[in-house]
Amino acid sequence: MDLSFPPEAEAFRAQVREFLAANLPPGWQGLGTLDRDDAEAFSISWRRTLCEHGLIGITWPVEYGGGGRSKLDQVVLAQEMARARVPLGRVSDTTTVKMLGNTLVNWGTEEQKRRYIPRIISGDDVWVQGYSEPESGSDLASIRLRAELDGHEWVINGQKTWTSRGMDGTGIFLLARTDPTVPKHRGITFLLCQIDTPGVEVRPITTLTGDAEFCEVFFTDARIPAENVVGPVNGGWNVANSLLGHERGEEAATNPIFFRAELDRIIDLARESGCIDDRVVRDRLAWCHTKVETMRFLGYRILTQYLRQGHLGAVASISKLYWSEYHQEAVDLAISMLGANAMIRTGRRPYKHFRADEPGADNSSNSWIDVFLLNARSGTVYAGTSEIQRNILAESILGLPKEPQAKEPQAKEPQAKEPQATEPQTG
Amino acid sequence: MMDQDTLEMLRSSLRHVLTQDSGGPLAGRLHELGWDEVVADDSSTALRTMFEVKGDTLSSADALGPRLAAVLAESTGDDRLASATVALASPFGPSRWDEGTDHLVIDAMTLSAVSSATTVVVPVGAAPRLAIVVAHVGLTSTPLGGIDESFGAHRLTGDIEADAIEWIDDRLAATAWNDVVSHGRWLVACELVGIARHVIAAAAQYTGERVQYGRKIGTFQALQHRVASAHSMVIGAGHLAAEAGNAGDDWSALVAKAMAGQAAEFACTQAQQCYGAIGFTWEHEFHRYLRRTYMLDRLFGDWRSLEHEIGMRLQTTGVVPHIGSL
Repeated sequence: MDLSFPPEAEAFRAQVREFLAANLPPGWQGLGTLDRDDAEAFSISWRRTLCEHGLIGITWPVEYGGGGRSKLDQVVLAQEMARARVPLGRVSDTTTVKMLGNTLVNWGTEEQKRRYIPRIISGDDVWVQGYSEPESGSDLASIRLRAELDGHEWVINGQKTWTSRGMDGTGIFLLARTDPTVPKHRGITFLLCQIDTPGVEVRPITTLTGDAEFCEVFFTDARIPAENVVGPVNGGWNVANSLLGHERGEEAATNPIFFRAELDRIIDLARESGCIDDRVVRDRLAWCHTKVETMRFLGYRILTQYLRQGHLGAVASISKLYWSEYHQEAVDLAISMLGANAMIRTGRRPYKHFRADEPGADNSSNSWIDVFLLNARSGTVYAGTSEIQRNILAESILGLPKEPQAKEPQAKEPQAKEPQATEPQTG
Repeated sequence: MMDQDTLEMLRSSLRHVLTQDSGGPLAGRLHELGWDEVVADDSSTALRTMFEVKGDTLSSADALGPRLAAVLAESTGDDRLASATVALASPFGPSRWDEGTDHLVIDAMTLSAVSSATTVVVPVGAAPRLAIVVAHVGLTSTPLGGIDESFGAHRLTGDIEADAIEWIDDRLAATAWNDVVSHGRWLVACELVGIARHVIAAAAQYTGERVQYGRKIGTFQALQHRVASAHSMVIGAGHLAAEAGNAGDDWSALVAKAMAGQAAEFACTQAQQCYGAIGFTWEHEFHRYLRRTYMLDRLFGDWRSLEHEIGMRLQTTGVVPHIGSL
């Protein structure tokens, strides 16, 4: 583990700090100080500013409009943005920039890169993710949405679900079953489909907080051009797998910052609610503190591996387990300190639906109730449940025997590499 | 004691009565059921069953309010209070006496809406004095909102002049309030047990139906253990609530409520993980049970505060009281 950054990364850090000093509103405290509409408006204008300064897609090749910088610079950028309490883009950039943009840079054809990357950078295109299906959650490789070649077009039939911000999308990237006769991991293709394609219908799903954050997307004889394949036909599983690594390196660096900021709010809450002298509360705060500090060092270790070897192994599962289970405890502590106040709703509601509420949020009950109901509790489900992460660790790192599988017509491939249903928003 | 068949019949009738949308006030519907005789026969079993069914069905009928009033009336010997609304401390509160204006500034919570024709008893202060306000037009009742809007709790506010208030004798008030809180804790414990059982049964059913990796997810030990752990905890909470009903003392109610709150919360967290993404939708019933659990747990003290109270009492007295036959 090497905790220092090389001089060229530090030089870039200085540039980013200069940019932030020049462009952040005076006295900026974070999106958490704004109500939802204002936070959305700020995100849109802030993204425009980032784009104008070449800070979207900084690792992508210059010929497609990227910045041609190193992965380490991307980590530095994410770190500095997190410290300055501003997002790296809009919520939809998790799927647009991090997921699809990086995937196209790795797997796209020359034509695809020239066509899509500039529009992704500019924000003209918003891509959403079509992975999960009603019958395919943890077992993602069992997807059934069919795509069949008919002349020069794929004809798509089936359904996707849990598509984050589906209503904002101009396009959806899909995993489709293109060969039902081969083992399930081998007959999957990664496709690009414009949302306005006839036969595509997006329906919002209301979450338990009452917000329409996810969507179902239905495909009925939707036709897309044959060239809208990313990577090899029937090779979509590997394309999908590679997509996960892109955000893990970044989040290893930013998670400790966001969760630290949240824990500081929780400590404030202990003071505000008069619980600060309660021994149980103090114990729980100390527990949270050690977890966040451990998360920081775990992050450095993951980062080191990612930057040296260019990929993440099963250690990513440790990280996912770590922050998601930590977060439930931390938010539970906040909710228990709110006491009877958790029965009523006061203050602004959180802008985002994943991980910690935005920096700058106050300790009013609305922030904690929504984060408790949705953000924290769903953390151990999305992007691979805790059960799946533990299976991966047990089998891939500890070498324990696999659970006996039910008889399947198709050959079974290692489960460890399965990308898990959408992680719609990083912290 | 009720035999098993009678109990089953009672459950089924209560299920009907508590989930009926129409048919007038709950009291009338219970009366038609012959509720008074059932309670006279075995009040502990009858009440526990009613609140377990209430939890199971997520009923929003205000069964608790009238019970609190009955206990207050009995404890104070003031029959007028049997039909009163007993207000509880509100998260917005507290209610306080304003020396300057000689007014009682009420900010409290009631378990259902209060009409201006109602007599309300309002706790004031930490070891509360109990103010009786008879049918006062200055009272305002608005939905509490919050984590469980369907529960029906209301915020009660008002600025009431001194001569419109009658105080319950302070010597009676302390004991009476203690009785109200204890009875409330016990009944809410029963309701939480009803919720927890429902949540576990529903999760067990779901894991027995949902298929991933070619098998029912309930065949994975990771999920089996979640449901089984929750079940064993709730069994304990259920026994404790039953014993507390027979014992009828404040210690038993305190312990039963602490245990039931923790068990229901645990059942919810385990079930939610079994449901995966579907458990985070509005459409799925789960979140309504989750919300109700957190609402109820916060009535008369949440389980963590009650655990604290249990610990303090044990330390202070150096005695571990028995609960019923346990």
